Order: sequence, then C-alpha cells, then structure tokens
Amino acid sequence: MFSVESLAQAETFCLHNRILTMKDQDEQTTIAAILSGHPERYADLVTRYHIGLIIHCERIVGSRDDAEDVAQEAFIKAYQQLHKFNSKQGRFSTWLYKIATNIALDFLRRHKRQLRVDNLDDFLEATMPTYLQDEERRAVQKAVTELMPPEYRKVIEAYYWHGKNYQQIADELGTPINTIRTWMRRAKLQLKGKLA
Amino acid sequence: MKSIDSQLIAARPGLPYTTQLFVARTMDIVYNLKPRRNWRLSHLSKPALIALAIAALALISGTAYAIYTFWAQPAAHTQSMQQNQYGRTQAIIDLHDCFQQPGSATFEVKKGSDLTAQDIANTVQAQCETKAIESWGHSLKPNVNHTTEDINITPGSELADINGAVFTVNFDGAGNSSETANKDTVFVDKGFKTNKSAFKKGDAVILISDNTYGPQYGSPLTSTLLAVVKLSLPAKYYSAAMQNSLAERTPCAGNIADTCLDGGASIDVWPRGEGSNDSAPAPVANSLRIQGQIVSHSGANFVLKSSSGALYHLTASRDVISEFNALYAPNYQNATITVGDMLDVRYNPPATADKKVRANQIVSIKLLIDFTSKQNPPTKY
Repeated sequence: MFSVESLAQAETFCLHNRILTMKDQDEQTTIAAILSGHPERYADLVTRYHIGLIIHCERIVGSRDDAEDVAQEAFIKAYQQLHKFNSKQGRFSTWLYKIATNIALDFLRRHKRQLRVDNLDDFLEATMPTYLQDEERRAVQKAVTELMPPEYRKVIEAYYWHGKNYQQIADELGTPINTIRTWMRRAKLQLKGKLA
Repeated sequence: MKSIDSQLIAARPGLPYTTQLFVARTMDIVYNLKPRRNWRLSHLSKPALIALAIAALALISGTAYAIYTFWAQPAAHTQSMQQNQYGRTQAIIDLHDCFQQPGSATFEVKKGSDLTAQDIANTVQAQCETKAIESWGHSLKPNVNHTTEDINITPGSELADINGAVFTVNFDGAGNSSETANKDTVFVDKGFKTNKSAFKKGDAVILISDNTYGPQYGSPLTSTLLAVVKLSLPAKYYSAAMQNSLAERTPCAGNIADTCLDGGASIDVWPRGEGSNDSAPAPVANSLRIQGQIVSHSGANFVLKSSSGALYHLTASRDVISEFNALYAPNYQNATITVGDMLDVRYNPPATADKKVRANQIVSIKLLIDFTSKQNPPTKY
C-alpha cells in the first residue's frame, strides 16, 4: 500500500528523472516559459545542471564551499541574462558553464590564487558538459554498478550523482579521506577501461 | 573524446533527494530578484516609436547636460530610527531614484554594528548606485556574445593607484587588480561624463571591462576597459562589511502583514541536505515565508511569533529541532535552538486562516544568525 508521502516521492522522482533527461527542445520550451513570466521553471535548469557545475567549479577554485558560491552566482547571472541567451549559438549548459568558469577564474584572481595546471583549456574541458545518448547513459550507469570492490561504486555515485564532497563521503563510509581519493582514482581507471 | 568526469556527470540518474537544498537556495534568490527591464523597442507600435524619436530629438536639442547623464543619481536619507521588537536598530530610509525601488524601505542593522543614521543612509545609497551602474554597464554592450565575451563589473573599490593609463583598484583589502584605459574608455563621475583628470588616488570607483575569451574558456584573451566610474561616496560604504551590516525588512512572501529579513544569514535546520534522507517538497512559485521567534516547542510541533505578533502553528515531519540540537548544533559552536530563537520557514500553499502549517507543506526551516564572515563562529540572531 502506498502512503501519501511515498506517492509524492515517486512523483518527485519521476519529475526529476524527466528534468535530468530533458532534451534540447524541452530546454528551449523551459527557457521560453521562464522568459514569459514563469521564474519557477528555472528550478528545472538548476536541478539539471547544478551537481555537474559545482564539480566543475570545485576543480577550479579548490573548495566545495567556494564552488557552491560560484555556481550559485553563475545560476543567478545566467537567470538575469537569460533574455540574451541565443540557442542558435550553443547550448544553455555551455553558456552557463562559461559564465561559471569566468566567475571562478575571477574568484581566483581576487584571492590571488593560481591554477597550477599544464594546460588550462584541457583542464577545464574535462568537466565541461557533454551529452550522452540513452544507450550511452545506460552503458555508463551499468559500468558504475559493476565496479569492484563495491566501495568504488559508492564513491563514484556519491560524488558524481549525489553531489557529496570527499569529506562527506569519508564520514559516511568511516574511511580516511585519502582512502576515498585513492578509491576514486582507481574507480575512474576501471571505468576508463570499461568505457573505452 | 569525452572525459570520464563529463560522462559520469551526464549519466546521472534521477536522484532528487540529495541536493535539493542548493536548488531551493538558488531559487530563493531567483524569486526575490527584481524583474530586469528589457529596453528592446521592437514591441512598440510605429506611432510610439515616432513619439519616442521626437522626444529624443527634443532632449538632444534641449539641456546640454542631459545627454551626458547616464543614470539618475540615487539618494537615500534616514527618515527615522527606532528599536524594533527584537531589540535591533531599524531605520526607515527615504529613497530617491534608487534603482527600481519604491520611495522608502525599512532596513535593520545587525547586532553589534554601530552604524549612525548617516552611515545607514549612505550604505543603502551605495547599494542603489551600484545597481544603477551595473545596469548601465551591461547596456554599454547589449549584444555581448556570452560564449566568447563577458562584461566584467568590479565591486565599488578604492582607487589604489593611477599610473599613466593604468587604473589599479583594491576592494576591501582583497588585493589589487589593474585595467588600462584606452581612447574609447568612458570616464564618468556620479552619472555624468567627465575625463581622466577628475580621478585621484583614494576615490571610490567601479571599473567596467569587456573581456573576450577563446573557443576554450580560460583567462580572458583581451580585457578592454569600457568605463571608469567615480562613485558618490567613500569606498567603505561599498565594502562587504558595510553592506553586510544591513538587511532589508520586506513583507514576507504570502504573509504580507509580517516582515521578513532579506539577505540575512541562516543555518539549515531542515532539510539538512547532503548526507541526510530528508525529502522536502520543492518550493512552488507562490510559496509562502514566515519568520518568527519560537514561543513553544513540543516534539514535531512548534509555534512562531511573527513580526506582527501573529502566532504560526507548525508541524514538522518529526522533531527536527531536537534532532538539530543533538546532531548538528555541535558543528556550529553548540548553537542549540531554544524558545526565543528566530526561525525562517518557507512553505507551500495552502495558507489557512488559523495559520497552521502541516509537515508536507514545509520546504525549509532555517535558524537565523547574525552574519559576520564565514570564518567567524555563528551567533544566533
């Protein structure tokens, strides 16, 4: 028997699944709705992109707290400039990520910090948004569920899909943070082999 | 080739319960944003366009200075100051030409701050002026292609040095940054066009630049200084410390007989976001908000007394206050929640005459704190 709460949760789950698999055309409809006076629809875009965007910003600014601030500022700026967004020039996510990258790099400059990487463009590109066909999505999800030992799957899911940072994952699994880093590295190596 | 990171992000399944807090917080700001005016003329009829052209011609041939006024210079005056029911200094500020703001607004001064009536008015005026300049700055290049360029507007900063064409500014002691003026750079003094000689070390300024980027985003390829704007007040009024000393009191969303503090800091009581299994409903467009002091708390039930003195009876999904005190307060210097503390609650409709809010309506519960800086321990409001 379903309770009211579980039905509501199921509906929320379906809604979020719809948002996360939103197609470009749906996204255009969403943007048109926002611009015609429905700001609440912007939550669809925030829900869809925020975890990836926070991960992207964290790679640049180096801390999850600062990354969340930067990502939030980017969402606000994108919302304020939404009437200037032109879908013919690229995807919303690409535009949003560039706004965020700009804010993140400005953040580093303001705090007199530097990114120590060999190639900035390659570094930034690694977490820029990409699009997967349904089949590709399923392949990635399957590869993650097959990771061994199971801890590897847990860290990947927690970081990339649940939006948790390394410290939170370490606390949850009762494992030192450096072990989490090692598992993450090894898990990604396994995935690279599986998805090559 | 797609990186493993980007593939993992793109393959994220629908897992709504973990990061709703970020979404809710961001949407909270979005809902409170004032609508931006879009000055495109394409929607105007032909007679309206002709009338507008005639008006523009009249303006150009009329007063000489009018065409150089880039924005109306805002002014703010403290009309009255008093202690409110929370023991805080509260000021009613008269506003003139404040960016998209009505004629007066109420601001509350943070505890421990010793701002004078003049300081409060100046700090509000600095806010209005910054908004007007930001709007003007973006209008300098309205058709910016955000995939390759962006308009960068500094916060109000102190002009640390002028060396030839190089302007160096310092914001809140956070380090210097420099931009170089060119032949097209516009110099503005309080809304009026001026020239470079009007600027001197120590002035409060805003720099507006046009940054361009390569196909792969990184540091700007070029940065063109579009404008140097001299501000009307000393730099300290534009600083984060001053701006954070004030919070505007506005009618609470959906409960307009009560006022809520805007832009204040808070600690999440429920939901706790990452790491918890809390599942709060997403805020709907017409969600309501109330702030009030706890007058009683028993299990999942608590009663808040709002600014108007009304009592709101709320029922959470469980005893989230005791849970916060036991599990999370130690993370915040033992800021346990007790009767008398101030909570901020956002909830979805319906609003009922008896001001009862059920568990399945509650979107978030926050403990209000006095923000000083991220580094300092939180102090309860």
